[in-house]
Amino acid sequence: MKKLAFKIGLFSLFSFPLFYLLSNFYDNRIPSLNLDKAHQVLKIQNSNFDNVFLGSSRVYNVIDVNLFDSIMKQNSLNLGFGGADYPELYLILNEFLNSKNKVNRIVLQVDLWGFVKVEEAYNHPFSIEKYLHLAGREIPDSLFFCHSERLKYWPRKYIPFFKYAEFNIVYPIDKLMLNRKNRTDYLANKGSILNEGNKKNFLFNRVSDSIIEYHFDYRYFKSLRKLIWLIKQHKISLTLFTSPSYPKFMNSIPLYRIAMDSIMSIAKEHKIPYYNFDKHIMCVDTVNFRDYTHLNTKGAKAFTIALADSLNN
Amino acid sequence: MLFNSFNFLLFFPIVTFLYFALPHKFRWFMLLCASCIFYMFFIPKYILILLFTIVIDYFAGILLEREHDKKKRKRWLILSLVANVGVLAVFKYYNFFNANLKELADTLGWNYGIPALEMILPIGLSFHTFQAMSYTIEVYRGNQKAERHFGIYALYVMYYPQLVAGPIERPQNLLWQFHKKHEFDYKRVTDGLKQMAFGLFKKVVIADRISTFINPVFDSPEGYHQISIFIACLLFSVQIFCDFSGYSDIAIGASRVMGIDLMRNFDRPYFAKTISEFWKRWHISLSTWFKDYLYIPLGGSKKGKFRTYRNLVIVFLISGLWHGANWTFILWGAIHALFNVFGLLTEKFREKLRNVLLISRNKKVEHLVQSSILFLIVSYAWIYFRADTIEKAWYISTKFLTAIPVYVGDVLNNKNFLWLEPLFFNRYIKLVWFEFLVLAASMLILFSYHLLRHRGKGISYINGKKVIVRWSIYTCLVYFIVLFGIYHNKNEFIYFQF
Repeated sequence: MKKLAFKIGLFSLFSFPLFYLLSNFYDNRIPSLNLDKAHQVLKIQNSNFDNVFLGSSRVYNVIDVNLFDSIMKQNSLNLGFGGADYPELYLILNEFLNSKNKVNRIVLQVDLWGFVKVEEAYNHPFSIEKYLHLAGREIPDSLFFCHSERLKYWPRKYIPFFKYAEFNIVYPIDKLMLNRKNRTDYLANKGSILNEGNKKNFLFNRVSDSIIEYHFDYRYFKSLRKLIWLIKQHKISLTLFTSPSYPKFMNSIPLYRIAMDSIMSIAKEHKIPYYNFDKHIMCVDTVNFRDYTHLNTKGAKAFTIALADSLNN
Repeated sequence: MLFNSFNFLLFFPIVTFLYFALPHKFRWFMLLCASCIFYMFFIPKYILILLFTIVIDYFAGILLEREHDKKKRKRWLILSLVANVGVLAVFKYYNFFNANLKELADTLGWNYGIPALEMILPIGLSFHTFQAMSYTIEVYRGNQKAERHFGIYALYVMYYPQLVAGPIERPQNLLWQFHKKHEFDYKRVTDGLKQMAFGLFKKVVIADRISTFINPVFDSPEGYHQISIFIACLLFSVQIFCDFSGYSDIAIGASRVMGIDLMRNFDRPYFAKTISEFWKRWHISLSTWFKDYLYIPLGGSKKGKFRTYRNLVIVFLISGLWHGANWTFILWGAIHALFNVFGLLTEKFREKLRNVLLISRNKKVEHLVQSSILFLIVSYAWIYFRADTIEKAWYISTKFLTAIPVYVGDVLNNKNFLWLEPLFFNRYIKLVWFEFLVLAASMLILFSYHLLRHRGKGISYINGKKVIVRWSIYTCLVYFIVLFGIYHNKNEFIYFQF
């Protein structure tokens, strides 16, 4: 057994420095590859914004920031990320503000889906693979610890290259070595991408979702409070809103009312203005939606005007 | 828990360490607990199903041995077999037969009110059921003494390396090994670890990489050129081999580390020259199970040609059904039955043909030609195994058969035809060339190793090399697994669904 342990030790001694160097190389190379909107956002520095819209795809795909700015004569940015939940938004916002970016107002999207367990809802589990290169910093590490597989936290932190080997499919070695950048400019329309969707499937998309039994993940209420605290700490004005959804679908979900009441009480508690567009007139007609929870291009433009109108008042 | 998961990376060394650290009398208990934990990682409450069949078979074995009356012995055997097959029938086949009966009733305009059962198939059910059945059959036949130690018998059924996807062991091979004390042996342990590493290499570097290319083709074949479909089918043959034999290697290797030898499950099946030889090399534990417990009791090949063909058809149809509760699997079995019968019928004709075409002059050329043809026909059959529905299987198989002439025709007749793209599944070549290179290199490593074994040189050949050569090979293997393994695709082993 000693012989085997010796050989494994020798192999590790030889391999660890190699993988340590490779891991460092990945840490430095990943930000420049532009693989994700988050990577592009994290490169923004020393910029000033009147408004930052923060949330999931119900910000990313439903707020036309160019239109909003033309109405408000302001400079805004869409920080919506598909499937993002509050821990991820906290991480991005923290890094964004630490890069000396100044923001006057944050408009944060809140809804039922932000509080539901990831395996039941549309949010993805904390997308740790996007932020591996930030490991070693206090806030990313604490989020990795709380919101990803805890057993893997220590190997990811202390075994060189473990975190990247796990995500070979996201970071194939050739992409890193050959510096193959992604040419998509996620910030081309100030971060907004409107989506027409496939209307043919609309009425049948997610029909069965209304009979799914959802459950809250109470950690997300805590995460939302943490996000609000971070915004207040930076003395930034905060407004909460809920993007439009198709009411017939939402009203069939038992937890919907409880989630909305929770959001209202959080808004009251922190004295934050809150606009719930779930009851807006545009929600009556499916013509504005590409699925039950996302507006299409037409709906997004109408909603952007309504949102600008509310914020103006 | 999957063998290619982080949990297993922790589980295996802990269990192995405890195995050698504990006195021999406690090892069976530790292994049994570990196997329970391993199984309960999937759906914990399903362990009750295992417990049910273990209790029935344990007592059936003892009663079979004690009883001298033939009729009563047969009763105990039938009770055990009915319990095992019953569990399989309820959990695996009930919904399939129910749905088909409902469709038939609807066609005939009858009322059919029997509901479907909402349940998930217990993992490894087909494997451990067959293993349990082989125990009672062997006790009945007098080839195996009934195991008196309940814990050891439970371990025989639940032994974690082969619990969920085989090899399907025989009691004569496995049971006595649990009673034997195994010491730490450096060579045996390192050979086991090497086999595990090679199995992992086959699974995460080759099989899972292939799946990233071919899954979209099988999901929507209409969107691809025929040559893409053809290549995807050939690659699936490689994928399923690497996936399943990779699992078997990890299982056999993990067991070997602890000193328990499991039977070989694959013996370079694509090096076979005939379809019957293929089935002697592919999933050996299952094919020998069917041979010993179904084919031979039906008469085997000893009761005339017609009976032989009939028995082959029965065995392959049941084998197809064993693999899955879907008509595609039954059809896959039927195709192999057809190939086997055709093979027997045309054996002499094919030999004459090889002589006429002068192929048999050179044994290596003959082997190459025969293996290549076999690979193509087995790849054709795999289409039915892989496809979700019969309609899709039919579509893909028709495209498969005409792919090459259609592709050559397009290249020659259509000046605007982009001939390279379909070979890479319509992916942008500049972005995927490296992945294909890794795949090609990995498959070359696999082929080279199999060629070595074909020439009678295997792991012992590598063990005989200088230390720098050996370390280079094993280091490359580990680095390939670390740098090129696909881990977050949530890829289960294909045979887990059985």
